Amino acid sequence: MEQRYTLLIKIAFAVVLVVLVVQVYRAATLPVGSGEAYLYDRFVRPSTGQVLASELPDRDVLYSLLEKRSVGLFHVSPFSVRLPGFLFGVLYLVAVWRIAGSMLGSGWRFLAVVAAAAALPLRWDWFVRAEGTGAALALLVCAAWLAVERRYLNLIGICLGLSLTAQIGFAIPAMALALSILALRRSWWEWIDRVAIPAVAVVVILLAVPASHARAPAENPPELTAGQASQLQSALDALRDDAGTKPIRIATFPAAEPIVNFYRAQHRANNWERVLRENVAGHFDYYLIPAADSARAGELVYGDAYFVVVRAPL
Amino acid sequence: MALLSAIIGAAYTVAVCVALGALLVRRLGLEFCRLEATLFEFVSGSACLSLAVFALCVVHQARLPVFLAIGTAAIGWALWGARGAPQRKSLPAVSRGWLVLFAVVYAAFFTCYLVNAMAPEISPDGSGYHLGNVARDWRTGGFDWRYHSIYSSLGQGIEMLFLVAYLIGRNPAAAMVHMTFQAVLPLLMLCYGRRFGFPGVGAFAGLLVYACPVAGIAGASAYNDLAVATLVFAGFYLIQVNHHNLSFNSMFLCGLFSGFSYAVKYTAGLALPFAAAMTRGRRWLALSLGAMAMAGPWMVRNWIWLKNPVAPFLNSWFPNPYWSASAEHEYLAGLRQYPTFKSYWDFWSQLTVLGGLVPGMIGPAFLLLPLAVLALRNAHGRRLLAAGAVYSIPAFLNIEVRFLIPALPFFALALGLAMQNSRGMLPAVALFQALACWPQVMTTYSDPNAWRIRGIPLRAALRLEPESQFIASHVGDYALKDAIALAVPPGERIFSFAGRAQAYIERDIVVGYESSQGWRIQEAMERAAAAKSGRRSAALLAKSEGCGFLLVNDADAVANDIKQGMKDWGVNKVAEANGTTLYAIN
Repeated sequence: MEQRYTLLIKIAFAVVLVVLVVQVYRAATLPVGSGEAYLYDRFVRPSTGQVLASELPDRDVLYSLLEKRSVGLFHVSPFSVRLPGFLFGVLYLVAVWRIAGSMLGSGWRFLAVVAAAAALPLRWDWFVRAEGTGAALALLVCAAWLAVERRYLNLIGICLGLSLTAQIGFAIPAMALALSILALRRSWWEWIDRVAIPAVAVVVILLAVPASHARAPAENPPELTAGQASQLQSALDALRDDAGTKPIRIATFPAAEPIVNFYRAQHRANNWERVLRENVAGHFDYYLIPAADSARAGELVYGDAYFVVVRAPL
Repeated sequence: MALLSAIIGAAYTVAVCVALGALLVRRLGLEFCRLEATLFEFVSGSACLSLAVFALCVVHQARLPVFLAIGTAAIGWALWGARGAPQRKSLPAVSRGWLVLFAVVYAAFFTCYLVNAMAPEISPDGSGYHLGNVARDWRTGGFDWRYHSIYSSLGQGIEMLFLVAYLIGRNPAAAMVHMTFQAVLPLLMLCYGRRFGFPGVGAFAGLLVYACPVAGIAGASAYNDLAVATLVFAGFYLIQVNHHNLSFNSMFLCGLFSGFSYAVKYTAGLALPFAAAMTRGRRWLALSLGAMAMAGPWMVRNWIWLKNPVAPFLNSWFPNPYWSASAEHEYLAGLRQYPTFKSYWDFWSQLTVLGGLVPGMIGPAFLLLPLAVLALRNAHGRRLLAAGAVYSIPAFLNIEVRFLIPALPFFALALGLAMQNSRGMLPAVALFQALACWPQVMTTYSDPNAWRIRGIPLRAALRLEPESQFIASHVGDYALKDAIALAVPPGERIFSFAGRAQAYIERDIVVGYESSQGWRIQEAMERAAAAKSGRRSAALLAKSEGCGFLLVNDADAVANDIKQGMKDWGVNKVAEANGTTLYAIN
């Protein structure tokens, strides 16, 4: 259905723009969470050979590949690791707009659906956080858009395959959408050639090698709350100021470990030894620990409701 | 100089093959298109040359002047006969996109394989028995009837071609001859696609197989797997071309390919029954005549020489003093010993991506192989899948992935047919396979022990790195080469518990598990070491069997016992290197 630039469309456009601006703002200002830092530290920072040798189940293959490009171009920062997610957010909004336009015309229902669909992801920061969920969702919605508009059938399969490689948990929704397309089009061989085969080929191309190496049990880093993540940045700033340029070893707790490493890469703090999750022993220069466990001897460098930074006695 | 002679040796052998093939194809009156004709001439000529060299080996006239005379005559005759021949038709064109992709990937991998083939031979079986047999044939001017080993009794169809190249350019020349079969296979597949109206599929499948890691390393070494794959595919191609009008001559040539396949590797003997089944028994006489012309001489040789036409197998049907049925059973059971996989996925990832538990891998793009069943909707696809299934059978009898190579062209074409209507997928998958299978890229993800090409040894290929230094860094036995040449008199034999790089050791080696004679010595020595008595008698038994020397690895069961009790055994240590010791029996 052809859309005209009615007032409702202009409002919808304004809503979409506002959502985009909010996403950019949040992507640039939100402190990096444990999951994001973990994805960077385990799958983006190391070389491909090191990633494969670690045998960890790669959670978000497509996202980590795109994040690697983004970090390569713009250096490590909360925004650069989130840039691919933001771009998938743009794709999501375009797809939602086109689906709503095709199915609902340009009336109130169009506005309501676009506004709701655009705003909903903000609730979970799908297109703000550096993780595969937003990418997978955007690609799935993109496949739905192409199916609704009944064109570029090959691309539907590719989008479905990419969605699965972005987040393996999207296998069932992707399959459901693929089967819905089959049910609607009722052309078995066309579906096989244009949807199923491209989807499978994309999955094999992107997942064959990572999946062959994913033998170790999954690591599930405990997540910090938004407030804790924000305070952690302040703690790390204080630690950096205190340490200056002298080489240091930091001991911390599992949820903070990837964030400390992310911070180290972001600020090029090469005098900080990388924090390891396991086999940690020996002397440490600083302890970054939850405030509840702050009985450790040493000089307090930083303290708040959540964390303390203690400099170990010489 | 060594490099130049290797290139000349390989080029001369290939030229003689093409010349003999051109003569045969013209004689049979078969019509081929342009590129197709040259490829079929090479394949059919290789069968003719192999047969001719076989005859020369029987009469012990396998010498360079004889080869040069016959080869030059064949080339001259073929050139003379080609005068004024009408220009052949061209096959339907390939799209420009496919042509560029195929040419770029083909050229890149061809260069990689060529450099590896030009480097001194270091592959286990190549430097072991393939070129070991060739070196022995060269030393004796033909078959050495006194030497018995399961590997010398196998068909040596491809070794006959290696021998011609070897006489001019030694080991690398032989590897380059095998590499020619490897280079011909994807071109044949491309021609197959062009002839039957799916050129993109032909190019896709050709690239998938050409980039395949296990086919890469096997093809660039003095093995025979790529020759087998090319021969069985050429036979299949020939049947498809003449499917509706099977002429006597075309079926004779198909039989020739089947018989030569058997002569190259017994497992490829499946080509004959498969061809008969494909043609539903039509023209069976022509097929059988062609097959017997190539396979028959090897059977007769073995029957007369070893009293077993299919030696070293079926020894319970053909009992003989050279290898027993029980030894055969034990040997075959060892080949079938698949490692334990945690899951089906583990098996598939090992086969396609990692290649550690099953030596070698076929490349990650072959993970899409289950999609090939969709080719069942197409008549060509059904035939290709049937051929792939048949030629996969040997892979169930031997864990080495290279036994799958003859089936890969068929499966790759079937996969291409299944995916041909998915726009953009074939070039994407072909490119993925090419990138993922490039040696340096494979280093990042494949198992460190996977059998594959590990780089492009340009310095070794151009002999900027001394040949002996390169071989010694890869072949452990090479360190004992000079010691053996000095200590072991010519004609004297050495007993070894394990297989050796016989291509580099100019003395015959009796390996424990390779013959009844070897078994006798091995069992006597192991029994003596276990019982801690009768050691001297065991050593004397080896000597009475003609083996005055022993090569013992530190890992062998008797190694420690001999090392600590040389007096009891009556042996002297002559040399030691890389965990292997050479002893002389007093």
